[in-house]
Amino acid sequence: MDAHAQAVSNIIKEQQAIIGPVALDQAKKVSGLQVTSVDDVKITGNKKEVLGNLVNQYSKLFGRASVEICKEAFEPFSSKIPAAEIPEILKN
Amino acid sequence: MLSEEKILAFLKLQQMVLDIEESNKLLDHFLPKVLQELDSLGYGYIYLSAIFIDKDLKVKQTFFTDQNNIVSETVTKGENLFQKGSEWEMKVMYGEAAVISDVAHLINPNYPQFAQIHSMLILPIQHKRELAGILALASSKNPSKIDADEIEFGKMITRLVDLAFRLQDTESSLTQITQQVYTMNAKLHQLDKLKDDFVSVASHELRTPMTAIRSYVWMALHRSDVPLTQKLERYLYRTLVSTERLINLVNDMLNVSRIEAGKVEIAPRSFDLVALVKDVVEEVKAKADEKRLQLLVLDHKIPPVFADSDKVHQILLNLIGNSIKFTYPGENITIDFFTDGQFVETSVTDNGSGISPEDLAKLFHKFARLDNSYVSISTSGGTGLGLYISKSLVELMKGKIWAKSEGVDKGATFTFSLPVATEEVLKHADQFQFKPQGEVKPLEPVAI
Amino acid sequence: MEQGKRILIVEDDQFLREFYQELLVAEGYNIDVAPDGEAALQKIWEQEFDLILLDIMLPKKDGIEILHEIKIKPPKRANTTIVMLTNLGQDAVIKECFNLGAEGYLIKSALNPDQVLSEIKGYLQKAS
Repeated sequence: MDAHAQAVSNIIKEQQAIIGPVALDQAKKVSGLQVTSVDDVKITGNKKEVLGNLVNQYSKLFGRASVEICKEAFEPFSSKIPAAEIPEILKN
Repeated sequence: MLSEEKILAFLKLQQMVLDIEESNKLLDHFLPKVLQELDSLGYGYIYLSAIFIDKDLKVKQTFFTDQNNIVSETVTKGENLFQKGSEWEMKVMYGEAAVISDVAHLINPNYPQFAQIHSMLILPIQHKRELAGILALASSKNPSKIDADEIEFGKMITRLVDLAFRLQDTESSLTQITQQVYTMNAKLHQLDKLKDDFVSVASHELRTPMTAIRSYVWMALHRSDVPLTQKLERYLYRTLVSTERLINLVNDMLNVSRIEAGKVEIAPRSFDLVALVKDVVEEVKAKADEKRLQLLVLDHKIPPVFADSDKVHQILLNLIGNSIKFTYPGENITIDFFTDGQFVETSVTDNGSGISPEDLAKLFHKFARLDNSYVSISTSGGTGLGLYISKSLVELMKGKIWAKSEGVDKGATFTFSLPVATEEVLKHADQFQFKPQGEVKPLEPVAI
Repeated sequence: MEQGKRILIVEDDQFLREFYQELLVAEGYNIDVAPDGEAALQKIWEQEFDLILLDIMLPKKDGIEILHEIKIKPPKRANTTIVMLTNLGQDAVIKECFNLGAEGYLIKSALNPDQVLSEIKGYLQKAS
C-alpha cells in the first residue's frame, strides 16, 4: 500500500478504536475507496479527493472531534506525502 | 372530493419526505418541492411559509420558499404570532384554517412581490391534536376564490410538513447525541493510550539502568583485571542473577499490563502441536542439560489444533521452564498428549519439588498470592506472573489450564487444553480470534 | 582482520555508552562515540565507519530519524552497516528499522556482553 492508502488504513484504525465497527461501515461508503478490511485498503479514485472524502464522511456523523482524530492518525504519513496531495481538511 | 391528480401529488410528496437522505436539511429540500407540486395542480402560490411554535406559542423555527429560491429569513412576520388574539388567530388555534384578506400587516413590505399578494391561506400544523405551527400560503387570488377543496388539500399537506419537521428535529438531536458520545469516547481512548504508553515507557526507562548493572557485573565476573575471591565471586554472581530477575519481572509486568488492557491479539491458525512442543524442547535443551534433565515427548497421533501458535509457544516455555526449575538434577520431564476429538490436552509432568494442597489454589494468581493475603508460594526465583500469563493466554484461546500434585516432593503435572481444528471450529474461526481495538501490543519474551 | 575496524556507538546513557566502548576497545576495534542524534550525524558525515551501533531513544534526533538521514537521503553513507542497539522491542519499530535499511536489531537487555560481541563480529564479517 502506498502512503495514501496507509494513511487511510490508519485513519480507519483510529476511528475504530473510538466508535468500533461503524468506522469500517462508514469508510465503505466513500466513493473511490475499496475497503475489504481495515488492513486491506485500495484507493481507486483521486487520492487527495478520496482522503478528503473519508474525513468528511466521519465529520458529517461525528463532528469536529472526529476531524481531529483523523489529523492525528494522518500525522505519521504527512512527511511521506507531498503537500499538494494533502486535502485541505487535514492541513492545520 | 379529492381528484386523482391531487392524490398522486400527495403520494409523490409523501415519498419525497421518506426518501430524502440528509434529514438535517429536510425542510429546505422539501418545501420548494411542495410549492412545485401545488403549482402543477393549478395553485400558483407566490410563497409558502412554515412557522413552528413551541408550547408557549413562541416561534421556534421558520422556513420560507417562493418560486425563486429558498430564503430562510422570514418574509412572514412571525414574531408576533398569536399575540394579537385576532379572529383568524383564534380560528387557527382551534385547528381551523383561516383565509386572510388583510395581509399587509403579516408580510414584510420589502418583499418584491408584496403588492401581488391579495390573500393568505393559513393552515394549522397539528401534531397529536396540539398546535405545532402554521403553514402560510400567499396567493395572488382574491380571498373569495379560496374554496373548501383547496383548504382540504392544504390540510393534508400540513401533515407532511409536520412529519418532515419532526424527522429533521429528531435527526439533529441524534446528531448532537452522537457527537457527544464520540467526543467522550475519544477522550477515554486518549486516556487509555496514555496509560498504556506510560507502562511501555516506564518499562523501557527501567531497562536502561538494569542493562548497565548487568553489563558491568558481568564484566566484573568474567573480565576482571584482578583475581576474584570466592566471596566476591558469589556476591557478584548473586547481583547478576538478581538483575536478570528484575529484567524478567519488568517484561512480565509489561505482558500482564497488556493482556489486562486487552491489547494482545490472538491470531489462531491450524497447526501441529506436537511439532511445536518438539521445537520448544530443542530451545530449552541447553538449560535442561545444565541440570542433566531428560525431556521426553510422548509422540501421539494428534489432530491439528486451532490456536495462536506464538502464544502457545509462550505457554510451553513457561510450563517446561518451570519444570526444569523445580526438578532435581538427573530426573525426567515428560510431555504427553490426550484428545477426545474436541480438545487436545498437553501435560507437562515432572517428579520435582511438587506443590502442597494449600499452594495449589494460589498457583495461577498474580505473584502466586490469593487476594488479601501476604502468604505466597515459593516461586524459586521466578517472577510469580508466568502462570497467570499462561492462564490468561490459554483462556483467550478458549482453552483451560490446571495443575495436579500429590504433594511436596511428589512432582507435579500441569495440563492445558486447546481446541481441535475441527470443521465446526474452522467454520466459526472468527469466534476464536481476538483483535484488539487500537494498537496491538506484542508480548515480551518469556524467561525460563 | 578485527583490528582497525571502525565502529561508532550512538548511546545516550553514559554508563552503557562507556561500557560498550570499553568492551569493544578491548577487542581491538577502533571506537568512536556519540551521546545524541545530532552529534552522531556530525561524526557520520565526517568519517566512514565499518559499523554503526544505533540506539533509538536519543536526545536531539532519534535513531529512526538518523536511519532516514543516512539510508534515504543523498547516499553518501548509504552503504554503512547499521545495527540497532536498543531496549525497544515492539514489532512495528523493528519492522520500520529494517524497512529503512538497518542490517540488524539487537535488544540490549536480552544479551550478555559475550553475545553482543559475537553479534557484532557477525555483522562485520557479513559486511566485508
